[in-house]
Amino acid sequence: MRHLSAERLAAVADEHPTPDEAAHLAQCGQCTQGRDAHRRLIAGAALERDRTTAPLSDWGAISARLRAEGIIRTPDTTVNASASASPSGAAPVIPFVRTAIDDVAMAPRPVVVAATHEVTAATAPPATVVTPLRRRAMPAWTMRAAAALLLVAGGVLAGRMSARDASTQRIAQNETTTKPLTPTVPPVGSLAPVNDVRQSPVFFSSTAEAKAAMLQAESMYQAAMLYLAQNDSTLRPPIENPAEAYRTRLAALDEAVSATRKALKLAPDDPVINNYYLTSVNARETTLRQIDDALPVNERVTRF
Amino acid sequence: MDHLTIRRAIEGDERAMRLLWEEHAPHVDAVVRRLVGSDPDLAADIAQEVWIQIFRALPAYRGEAQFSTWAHRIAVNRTLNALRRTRRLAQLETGIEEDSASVEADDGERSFIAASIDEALKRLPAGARTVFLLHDVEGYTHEEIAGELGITAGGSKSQLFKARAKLRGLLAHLVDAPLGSGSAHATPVC
Repeated sequence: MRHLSAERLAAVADEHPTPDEAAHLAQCGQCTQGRDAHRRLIAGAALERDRTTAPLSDWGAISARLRAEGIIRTPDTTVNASASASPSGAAPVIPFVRTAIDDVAMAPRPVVVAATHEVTAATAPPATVVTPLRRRAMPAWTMRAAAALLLVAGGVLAGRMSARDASTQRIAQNETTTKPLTPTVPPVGSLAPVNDVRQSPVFFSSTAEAKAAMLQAESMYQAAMLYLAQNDSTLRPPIENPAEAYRTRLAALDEAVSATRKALKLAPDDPVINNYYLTSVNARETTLRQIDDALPVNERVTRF
Repeated sequence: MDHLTIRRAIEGDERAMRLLWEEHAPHVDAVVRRLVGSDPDLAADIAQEVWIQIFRALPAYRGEAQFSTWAHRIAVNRTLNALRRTRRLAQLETGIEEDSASVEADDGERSFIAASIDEALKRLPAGARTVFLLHDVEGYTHEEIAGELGITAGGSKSQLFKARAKLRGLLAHLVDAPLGSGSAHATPVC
């Protein structure tokens, strides 16, 4: 009998050979060797399944989306979620400094702002949380340095929290009574000093408050976008060829997401870049929802 | 990951959700990375979408399978859907339909020695690569692959065997036993 072809050798590695093939394999070392090579390949492939990687996803961006969709109903206000709540009681993961995108997402929602007044000096406020993004073994001295840094930062920020003045109360009241915040927006292209909050009609006494306000506005913006996507027909592309219009818009948004992601890698702590990224991701999601809602029932967008 | 954490996540507790993400992201994101291939930006975007989908679907999780298995399924499905929405869909389907594609390495590939399966996979056509990943790595049956990709189970098998044959060539130094007799099937008859 002829040797088994390359594809049949690949097949008989985990399938029953035909009687002829079995008889041939019993006497042909070359084919047996080929079959065994495929078995080693399959065994190696199975090991790939257990391979892990540093997370590609980012909890800050995920949680922002989940909040916007109302899936997150109880924000995380713990100091270190993984360390304090690990059911296995395993050693805490070494913390890494978060990006601004994580800070925005992890900042307390408006209803939580008043509660942060009760934070004691021994407990860092949520805005100071340093959370793990990646698991990686680090030497003990690094752990001690990180712990010391966390302690100092927590103390400083806890002090700032306890030193809030009356304007803090006013902000909290504004938020709890749902009075709209109207901070001054600097002209496009200008670089207003980030800390010069007194030029704004709304005074923020801490970055946590400003971030909470930004989160509130962001959630409102996202909810408005979703509503408009579902209800405002003027936002929809011309009906002559909606599939093509959506395809074009998605392609453009893919470019926007890709560009802002690259920018985020260059400046991970820049809140403006973080927001550009979030906005483009949300716009893409909104467009996908529009496709579901707007296309005729007999029409589908099958490629982008 | 205990049942209580999942229940709290279903109730909208961010801390519980984050615990789930921290526990499973290294594995789930690895699935996405494998299936997407050599486009880290696209893989990151899809991984993000996968996790949104996991938390959207969490209320439907019945606990019949392990959470990791359930999340793994969502990762595969969502990634394939995302690839379908991109230009890669055409490549993927075309790759599967081109049943006559040769499994023999060309001149450039004969001199290429992959250091790992992951590296060798980049040399496969999209269709064969996807079928190999789904069957030999992710553990899907040919019927399941057929359902996922809209092909026949026979087509899935054909692509798998082509993929294996090509990978064996690329990884010969790793998978072939070091025998002096040679492993090539240049001679058609014993």
